[in-house]
Amino acid sequence: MVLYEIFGVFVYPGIALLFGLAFLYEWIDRKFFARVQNRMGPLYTGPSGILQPVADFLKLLSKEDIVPASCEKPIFSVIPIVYATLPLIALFVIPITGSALIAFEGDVIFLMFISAFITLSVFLAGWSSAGSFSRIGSIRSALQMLSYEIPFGLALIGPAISAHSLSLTKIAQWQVANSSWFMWLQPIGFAVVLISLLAELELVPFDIPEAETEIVAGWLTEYGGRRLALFRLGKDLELVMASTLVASLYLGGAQPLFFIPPVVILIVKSIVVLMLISFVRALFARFRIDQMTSGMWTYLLPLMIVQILLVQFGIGG
Amino acid sequence: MFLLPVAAVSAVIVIALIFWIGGKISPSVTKNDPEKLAPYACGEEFQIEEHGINMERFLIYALYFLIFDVLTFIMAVSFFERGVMPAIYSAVALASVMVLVIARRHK
Repeated sequence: MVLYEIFGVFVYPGIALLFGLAFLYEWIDRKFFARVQNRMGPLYTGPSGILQPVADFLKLLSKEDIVPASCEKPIFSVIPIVYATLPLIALFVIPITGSALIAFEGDVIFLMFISAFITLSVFLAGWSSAGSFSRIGSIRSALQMLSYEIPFGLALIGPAISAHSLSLTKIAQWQVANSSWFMWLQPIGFAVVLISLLAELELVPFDIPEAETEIVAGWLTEYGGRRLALFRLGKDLELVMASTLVASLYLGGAQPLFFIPPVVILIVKSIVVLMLISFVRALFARFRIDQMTSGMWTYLLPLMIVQILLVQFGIGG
Repeated sequence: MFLLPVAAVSAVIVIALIFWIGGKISPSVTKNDPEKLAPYACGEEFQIEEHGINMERFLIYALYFLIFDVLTFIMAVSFFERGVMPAIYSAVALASVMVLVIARRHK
């Protein structure tokens, strides 16, 4: 029993599977993004460049480790570890194989907490490195969190109200039992969760905290070597977290289909979500921070509350 | 449920192990000159005060965030209640968002 749980935590559906998915998803994201822009994307490492994210990670890991003189060293060193760990812990809760590794009543709230904490660690990372660009980036990321966090939280709660449960596993099972996806029942919620996840992951329409053309790399400017490697790993894990979360909340989760194992179904669904995210990333240009905050408060939050109202009147589940 | 702390701690351990291995396989810092350890600034001298941050807007949005985060949490834990009361509650929330937005726009 204990051995089984150790296997669960470290191999399947635990850390090893999640690392594999993280590198796979980064490759899919980069390749798809490049193809939309009529480029080739990663090519040389492995068959059509599938091992490129692993190679990049190992290369960064073996680079010289430079700590700027002006930074606050303890926070500067701890934050990369925290940033890579948080999405990993969040992924334990998401039912990737049909049932989550750790399932308890209220893990939706746990996920909201983790997502707020990720942004907090971004803020600390930028603030502790004490450069001008990283300070601006960290302030921007905090301001961005203030605007997307509430529509995001409400979009997680919409399905929870319909399924009468705050547990992700039960929400996914509700969709399987009623054979209807929340994507069709609550389309506004689906759109809002996608947009606010783009903001959470700092992808292109909302990549304001690390805007390359304005502030070099934003909060990441001073990081290099193994610290940057852990940030990259954390970003990939966040990508997995976002796409599997949308797949299990709004796309029916890991529902069994004929003889195909539920994991494969969920991974296929989350890859579809990932491609949607990459497509949006390739299509749009960056917003300004004031456009982003006021836009989120003016349009996204009222729309999401309207969605919740509709759910409470029994429309959409 | 008791697995959560165990899983969290093992995740931290694995990540810290990767960090440690990175420290082992990377070359040690060869030259400790101040140029290398200076924060990145494109060769310009920056004063941190030059980059004014609109603190007023930040605090206003922080206040909104605080209010509506509590509201979201209340909605989350009252999910089993359906019907008129939660709907009125959501309507009040919607109205307050609209009032806030309109008030900001006319200022």
